[in-house]
Amino acid sequence: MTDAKPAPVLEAKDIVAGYGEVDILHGVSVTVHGGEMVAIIGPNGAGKSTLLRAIFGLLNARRGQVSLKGQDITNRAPDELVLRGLSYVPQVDNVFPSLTILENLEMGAFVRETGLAERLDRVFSLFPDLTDRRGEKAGRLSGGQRQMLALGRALMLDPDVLLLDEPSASLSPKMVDMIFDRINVINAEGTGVLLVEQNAREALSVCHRGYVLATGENRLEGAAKSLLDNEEVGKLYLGA
Amino acid sequence: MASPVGDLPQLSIWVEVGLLVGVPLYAAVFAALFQSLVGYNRLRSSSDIFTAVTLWLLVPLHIGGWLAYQYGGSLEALLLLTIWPYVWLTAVVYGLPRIEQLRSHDDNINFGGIIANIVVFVFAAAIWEHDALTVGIVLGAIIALGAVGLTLIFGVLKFAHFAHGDSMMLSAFVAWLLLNGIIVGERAGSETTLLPVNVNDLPGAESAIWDFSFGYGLIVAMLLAAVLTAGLMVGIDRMVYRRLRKRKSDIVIFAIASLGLAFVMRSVILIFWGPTPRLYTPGIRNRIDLPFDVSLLADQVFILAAAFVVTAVVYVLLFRTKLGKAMRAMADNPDLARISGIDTDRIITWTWAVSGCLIAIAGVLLALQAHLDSELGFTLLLPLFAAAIVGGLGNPLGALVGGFVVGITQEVAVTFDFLSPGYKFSVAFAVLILILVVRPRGLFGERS
Repeated sequence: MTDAKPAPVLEAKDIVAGYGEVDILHGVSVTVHGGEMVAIIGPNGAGKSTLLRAIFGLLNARRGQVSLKGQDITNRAPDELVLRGLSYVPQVDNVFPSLTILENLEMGAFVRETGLAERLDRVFSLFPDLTDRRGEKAGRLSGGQRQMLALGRALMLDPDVLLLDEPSASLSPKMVDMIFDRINVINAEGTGVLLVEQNAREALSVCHRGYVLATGENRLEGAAKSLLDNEEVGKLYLGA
Repeated sequence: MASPVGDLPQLSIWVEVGLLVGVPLYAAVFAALFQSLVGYNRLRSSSDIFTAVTLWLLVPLHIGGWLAYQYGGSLEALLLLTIWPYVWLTAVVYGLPRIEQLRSHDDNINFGGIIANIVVFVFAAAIWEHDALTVGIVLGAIIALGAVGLTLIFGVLKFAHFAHGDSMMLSAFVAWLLLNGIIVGERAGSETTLLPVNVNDLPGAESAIWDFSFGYGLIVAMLLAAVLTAGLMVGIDRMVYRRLRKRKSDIVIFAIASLGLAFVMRSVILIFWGPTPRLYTPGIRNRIDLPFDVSLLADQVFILAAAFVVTAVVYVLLFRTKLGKAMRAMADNPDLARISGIDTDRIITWTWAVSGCLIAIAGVLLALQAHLDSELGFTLLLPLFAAAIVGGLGNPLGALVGGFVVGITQEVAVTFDFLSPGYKFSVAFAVLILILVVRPRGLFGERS
């Protein structure tokens, strides 16, 4: 191959989706290459979260195509997607509050029978805070620890791509740094990450590339650094 | 023997009025004092005052006052006084470790208080009404089994399964059919043998084990009925509820559909077995004596043992197996369960199967405690729901505790002179209302 860039792992093309009669996405395309960390930023109501839900089959895509490692996965059920290597962490309600931390992680690996112990070890080494509290109910965790547990649950199947919906929402600045640091580590170990962020500056400073969505359409895309320096982006979303 | 506190005089009506008015006042002052002591120095709302007053002092004092009035001056009055240190002990045990939490989780005071009151109530019942307590425990075990199934269905499918009581009775009759193969004939009094082979044909199936009124045949019939009911419940889900799910019907539609099924089941019982109450075995029911002046029917010992075994199995299933954990996960957060890749259809099927087994066993045990009666299932619906809600809807452990609370309260309450046994089921309702006022999410319910 002459192209230096690795092949795309996750590719969403021309996605049209919405709720009821109303389309929220009018043909959005995003791509995640192997081992890449990509941010989707944009104002409220741009359709960022809707895009993740459509990619994960929680929302029917009316048009367009989603493919994972070259195979079509448009509108497939979540249990098939997690087996194929895609995981999703919703913004809220992303843990099982009355289950223990250990049980939450086990549920993340529900579809696979083997190798539970090693993957648990990996998650606990990524999030040492959870290790001592594995027998505690997830409902008792703080916001930051909940987010760690949610990430841990999504990692239990060693996904190729992780979809994260606002991982930094309603966390303290210190916790935001901590979570992004962990996401960086996860990414460095080879997992592709596609994350939606309100916190655009933080997101772009850790990601490789970024997409800017507005009113359900692609507005801009490029290397994260160039987006950070981009005047239009700066004016619109970074408050520069 | 002279009691150390001397004989209390019979209390006059004015003392009772004084108790009714003075005790709440005293309790209110105490509650304010208590709350300021633990740094909870702002009575945030009237419900906090109500809660603290009722839970920590009012109920035990009222029970105490009433009992003192009943038993003025006797040994019982002494026991009443000895209850006090116990109340305090409970209060301290539940209160002290939670003082820190009280500041952030202001409703632990409710939880501790309710538990303290349940303990005091059961303790008092054990002293004064231990026969009713015994029956209450037996009935509580049956209600608990039913309520665990009810709460599982609610947790996973999020609707109130109104056919629960009638399914219990239907499976009890199915066990009866398996046992002797009989349904009623075309004319009153005549009987038709339906099954060519039945459980009682097995060698020695009818000869009584130990002091029980039945042989191993009933246990076999019960287990067979459990399998059949599990199948029936899964079948009903396929035919009715799954279609509703596919149409994304409202929760109310599910509940109404289950109510319709309840009528169907009761009619099926009436068609096949008629309205006459029946018993599994005509045999004599032996009473056995246990330590501490407790005596109960041998069959009731079986009920308790069976309930214990089934509860243990359900506990292992829910908390130690992947399937059970997935059921709880789905009850917790169905969307996240789907996102995690849990096959929700399969979990729903298993939930019905497990609930079906619980329904059948609870039904047979109920019929063994009372009798087989087409109306009994529906009557039991209120205590079942009360138990599930008292424990916290969707929480199996809560349903278990709730079952015993409702069963015991029902039986003990109707021993009071002013409450006729006919009000048994309204006691369940009263318990339900009390819990809804004091702790709407139930004893073990998660904060939403």
